[in-house]
Amino acid sequence: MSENYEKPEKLADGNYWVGYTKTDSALRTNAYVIESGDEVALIDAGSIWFFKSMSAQIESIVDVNKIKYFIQHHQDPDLCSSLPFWEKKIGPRKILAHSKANILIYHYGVKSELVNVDYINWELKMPDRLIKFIFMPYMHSPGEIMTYDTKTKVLFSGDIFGGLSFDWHLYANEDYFEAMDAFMEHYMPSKEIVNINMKKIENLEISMICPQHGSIIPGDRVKEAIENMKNLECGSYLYE
Amino acid sequence: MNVYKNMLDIIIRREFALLGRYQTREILKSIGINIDEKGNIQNPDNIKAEDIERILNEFKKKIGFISVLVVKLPLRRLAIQNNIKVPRVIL
Repeated sequence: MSENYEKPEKLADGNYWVGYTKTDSALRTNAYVIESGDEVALIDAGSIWFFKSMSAQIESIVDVNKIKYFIQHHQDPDLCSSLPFWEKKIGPRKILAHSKANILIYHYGVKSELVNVDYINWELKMPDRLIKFIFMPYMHSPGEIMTYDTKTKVLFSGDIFGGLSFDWHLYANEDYFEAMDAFMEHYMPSKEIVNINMKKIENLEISMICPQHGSIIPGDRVKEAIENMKNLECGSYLYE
Repeated sequence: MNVYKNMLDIIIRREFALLGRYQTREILKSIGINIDEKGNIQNPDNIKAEDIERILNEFKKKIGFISVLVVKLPLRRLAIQNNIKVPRVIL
């Protein structure tokens, strides 16, 4: 039985889950907020379908006019198609993504300034914390990034570590890694690429992993999740 | 080793993750396959190729393509490794 969350969930100091649970899709979308002083960053703004409910969730915890940044882990519509609606609501802001993603995000008709994280030293200074971006090329997009809050040690992972399930839980249950494999094995390109990229995070201090789909992986299961990813059988379509 | 039992183990693990344990057990029960809440199969040695086809078709009928998508790659891999026919529904 899926969990229904009507309200945002505080995950750590200044970090909130603001996803949407009332959907028939097995590919549920999570969005997250980082609130730091007078600034707010919205991570993976979300789909057109859920804009109304998601923006209401966000309004219940922060003044949306304080949103200064949209951090987009790649360019897909499930996380970017609401951007024009956000701009209509609060005006243009700054969209932070890899240059290879921003070149495509432009085509949503956005008016915000497109800031390429690969041109700003992979970091963003917010009033009380430093946000770092980690390059994860080809997992699954060529400009894929993750976002790391150095204050709370929360890793926002985009599609990576995401899961496919109708039986959704905010925090990963005992069956979650199977849900994760079922999604990842279709979207990740090769074991070699996955292993090269996992090396970038395996020694990082991580309090939890927050993917854009599926469930949050708590700190005590992070190592297991990374090992699981390293052993993922993927890229199989090449052999069909 | 019964490859078809191994295939059913994969189906059970993946459908548990996709649908939850209760719904998975109910769908299997409706076609005469009984498993406990941990996913252990009753009479595992009796599982045959036609059972796998029947089970996959039942999930597809009741849940849709996604219940087949989540098992497609590991089942194909197992079939190819063991030199047996890939179930038609995941071709």
